[in-house]
Amino acid sequence: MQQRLENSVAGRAAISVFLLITLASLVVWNMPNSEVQRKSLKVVRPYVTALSLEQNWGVFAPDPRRETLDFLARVRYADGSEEEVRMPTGGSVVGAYWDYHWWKWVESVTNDQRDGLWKPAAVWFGRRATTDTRQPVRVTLVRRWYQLFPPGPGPSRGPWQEAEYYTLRITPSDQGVR
Amino acid sequence: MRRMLEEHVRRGVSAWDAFWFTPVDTSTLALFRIAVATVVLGWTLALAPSLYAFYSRDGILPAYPDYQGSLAWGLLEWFPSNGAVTLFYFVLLLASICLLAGFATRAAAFLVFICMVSFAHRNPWVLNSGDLLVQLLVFYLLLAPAGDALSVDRWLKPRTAFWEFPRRAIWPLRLVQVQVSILYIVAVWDKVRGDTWNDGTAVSYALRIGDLSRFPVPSFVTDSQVIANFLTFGTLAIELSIGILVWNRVLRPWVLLLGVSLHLGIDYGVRVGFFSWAVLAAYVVFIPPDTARSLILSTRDRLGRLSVANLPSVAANRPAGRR
Repeated sequence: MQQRLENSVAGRAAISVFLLITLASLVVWNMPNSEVQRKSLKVVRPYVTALSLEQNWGVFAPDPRRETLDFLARVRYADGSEEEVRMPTGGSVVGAYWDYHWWKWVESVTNDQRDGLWKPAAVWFGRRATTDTRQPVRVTLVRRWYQLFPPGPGPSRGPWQEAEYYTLRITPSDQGVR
Repeated sequence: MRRMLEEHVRRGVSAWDAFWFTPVDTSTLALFRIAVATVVLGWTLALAPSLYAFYSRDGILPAYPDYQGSLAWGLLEWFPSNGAVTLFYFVLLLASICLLAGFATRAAAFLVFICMVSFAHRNPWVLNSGDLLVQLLVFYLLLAPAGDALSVDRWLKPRTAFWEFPRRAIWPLRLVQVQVSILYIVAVWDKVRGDTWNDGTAVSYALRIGDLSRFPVPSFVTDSQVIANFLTFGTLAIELSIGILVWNRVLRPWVLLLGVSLHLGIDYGVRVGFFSWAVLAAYVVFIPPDTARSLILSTRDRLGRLSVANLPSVAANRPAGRR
């Protein structure tokens, strides 16, 4: 079927139209943020999103992060005790191929502009910390970080710092309130 | 004047036709399919440990994200149950194995693409550029007659023709080539706007981000300004070279070789998941069909010689009476 299409003039014309639209869409999607792009995206976005051709090649751009991030949930139990719960992570050899998803998520869940992710995260960590004998009553999300200094003489990084940025009180049905 | 215009149009159409529709052996396409399917299979297996945490209603993102009227779609929007997550995962796993083997290739590529997009849109916060690249490569594979060579689909046809590589129009491979070029040109464009890519310290920072670091990189590499400059400007030079010079037949192998070393270095030092392997899979489309054919046939011959060489030794190990 495809071969027949490619061998006919009409088929080649149809494929050429598809190629032209796709290439134009990719160029617009990837062009610098500008008025031309904003206007063109109105036309192009439905095509790109419908075909799932979304892409982003700004890896470590325009600058790599200048801090190391860490994230944990501080869980307080009904008996007054506290525990720090972390997300699942793997080793460097094989684990790196699955836990990078978690580290990608950390970039968002510790971001003030992504506060919609906070409550579900707290609920999930609360559930993870629940056992038959221990019930969490409060989950606090903690962002930890240290600054990276420019290469050269002197220390390469600053000290660890941390900030508690969201607290969820857990009810028995996991329907928490802030 | 009109005749000149017609001549230009005719030449333009002819050049377009030659660029996109020249028939080539499907040997390169077969290797591309195997490379992409291997990455997809690895990606799928790597999803297993966090499947329900990422995609179920009991996970870190219970509600389907709001795409604000865009046409982004996903099966998990309509079938959000844990059972559906499990079903789509196993469909993805099975389809990626079929894609690798080239069995019902077009349908397998379609199912892989549908499932990958569904997982991607269900939770976009856990994805990086490499994950989207894998998905894009599957889309391009879906457009190609990827099961026409070195596949179970081919084997099910007259078997004497299994080692033949029927000629097909090159346009799906060309799309991947253009995509690779765009990837690098955009990457350089995005980077040169940053301070650290201009002052030559970017790679030093990238290698010291603790949550992204994979294997240790010696501190004399990351702390030295000179080495940091060399690595930063070298990265930009390599990316720009690939983006442009990959279209030059003579320079192509050399810039791709530099790209291979760059991405193996990234995979060693940085926790980027399947990004490097997806890029390397995309590089396969630049292997000339003749080279791909020779590579495949020489591998077949070598494996054939190995199995023939093994036969007498197997026979020799059997008891004498049973020979």
